[in-house]
Amino acid sequence: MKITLPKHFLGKSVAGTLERVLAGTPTSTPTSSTTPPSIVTTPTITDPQNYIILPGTIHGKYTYPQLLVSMTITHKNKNWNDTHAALAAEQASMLSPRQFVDFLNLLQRGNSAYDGLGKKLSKKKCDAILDEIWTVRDPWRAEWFDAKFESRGGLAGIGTKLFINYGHTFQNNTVTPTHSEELTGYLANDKTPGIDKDDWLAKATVHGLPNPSISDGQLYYWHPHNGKVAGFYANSVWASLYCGWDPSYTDARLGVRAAREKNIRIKL
Amino acid sequence: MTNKTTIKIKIPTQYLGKLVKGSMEKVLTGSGTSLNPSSSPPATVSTVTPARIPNPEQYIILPGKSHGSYSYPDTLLSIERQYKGKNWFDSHKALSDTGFYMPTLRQFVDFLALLRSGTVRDGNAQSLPPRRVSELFEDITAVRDPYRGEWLDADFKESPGGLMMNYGHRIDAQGKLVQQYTQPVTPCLMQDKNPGIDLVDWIAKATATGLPPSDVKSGTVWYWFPRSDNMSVARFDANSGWAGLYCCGYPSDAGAGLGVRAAREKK
Repeated sequence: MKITLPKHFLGKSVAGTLERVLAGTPTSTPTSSTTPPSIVTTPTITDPQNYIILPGTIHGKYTYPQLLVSMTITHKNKNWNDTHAALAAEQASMLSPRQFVDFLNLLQRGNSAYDGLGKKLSKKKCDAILDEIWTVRDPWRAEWFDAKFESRGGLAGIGTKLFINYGHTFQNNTVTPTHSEELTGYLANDKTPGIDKDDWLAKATVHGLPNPSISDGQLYYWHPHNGKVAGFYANSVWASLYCGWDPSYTDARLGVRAAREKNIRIKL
Repeated sequence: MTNKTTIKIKIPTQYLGKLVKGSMEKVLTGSGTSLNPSSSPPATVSTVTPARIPNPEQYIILPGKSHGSYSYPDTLLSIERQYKGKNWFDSHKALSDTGFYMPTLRQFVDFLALLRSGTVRDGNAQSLPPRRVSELFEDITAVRDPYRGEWLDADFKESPGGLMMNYGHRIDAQGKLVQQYTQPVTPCLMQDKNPGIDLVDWIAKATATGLPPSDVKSGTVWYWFPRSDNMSVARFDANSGWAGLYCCGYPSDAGAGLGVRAAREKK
């Protein structure tokens, strides 16, 4: 039997892994999602207590390593591209919609979230973070996602496909995606109101979007459009997953939830 | 010998809401991207037509509706409140002088429902960004400074048949304010509730005149019921203390933050 090894696992290149393990230097190895970290050392973070550990996850072909995700929104009043630039300067990144869904699920469970120091978060704290994200109330809260939509192919409007670009990096003053995949099996029309947020979290697509058969609910949803980017915002009128944001838009209330790859030492 | 069969293909005039005419030329000249349906917001494939009015971008299209015996056509409503500082009578006069009128309470409720739907078009038939829509809704309903208020076309008058609401006012040739509709106020919630009534429930279950029903859920929107003092009109107010429907306002009231939304039939 021939076994084909994948090129990537949990967002990491597989190449050289075996050699590193045999040499005793297994850096950045993902941990179990239920195991609190033994030691957290991320040199660029001075306040790990303000971050939450998002376990590395596999969604079809898309995997990502364990992350530290900020409990709060920062870098407000910057457009989508400038936000990427600001994050890159801090070796941080923007959450993809799928990572955001996983983050919400983690908080929603309320019993398995840990801060960057490895201290278990109380249910009350998890609920407070969720409240800040999606409760319909003043003031406005809004955050960018790492997802830009792009139409490709087709002729005269026939056969056009919509792609999601994500995993953006900022190099040479350019925001460039590392992943570009066709959007399939997602809700391709607006629903205002709304979609059921629990159903969304339970059955989101590999790209974090609601599936077409999602139950009705109160979370507003605007579907992806060519050239637009995704985000989440809540105010006194609604909470919404908005996939039609102009990337050039700025607002003093709109920021980003910084994420950083978590470096962790594993006891062997 | 070869038999030749001629097949005639009929090209439709439209495809996916777009005119087919000229498509091939656009593709061949490299401007075919605009033909991509995913690249355009829904507004561009809509059948809603732009309004024939100066500055249509300053108005919202309120789709026509029927509520019992009261119905109204597609209506333009100004995004901003106008004629601030004028009382209820003078607001009617100022609106009439420019070819507009005051929105009825029912239209106001439908306007709130439209904003809550998130799908709103301006007078150019272009979709408003959702954040702009929610800002508009907040501008009306949010509890915060400064005071914002808007007159509504609802005048409460006692009659042998009980308390009535007069609405659909127009100024006639003699300059007199005349109502087009008179309807009993009840059944509706006939007591103050401060706080309050549930905004979403009010919008969903409003009576034909736009008033909250007697079984409206409790909530945070304050409500003053229509008085039978023959000098009460309606307005919606919001400030840092509360936001609410005030059906006992003196028509002679005026204030710097109290204005009116200009309405006219969309043509």
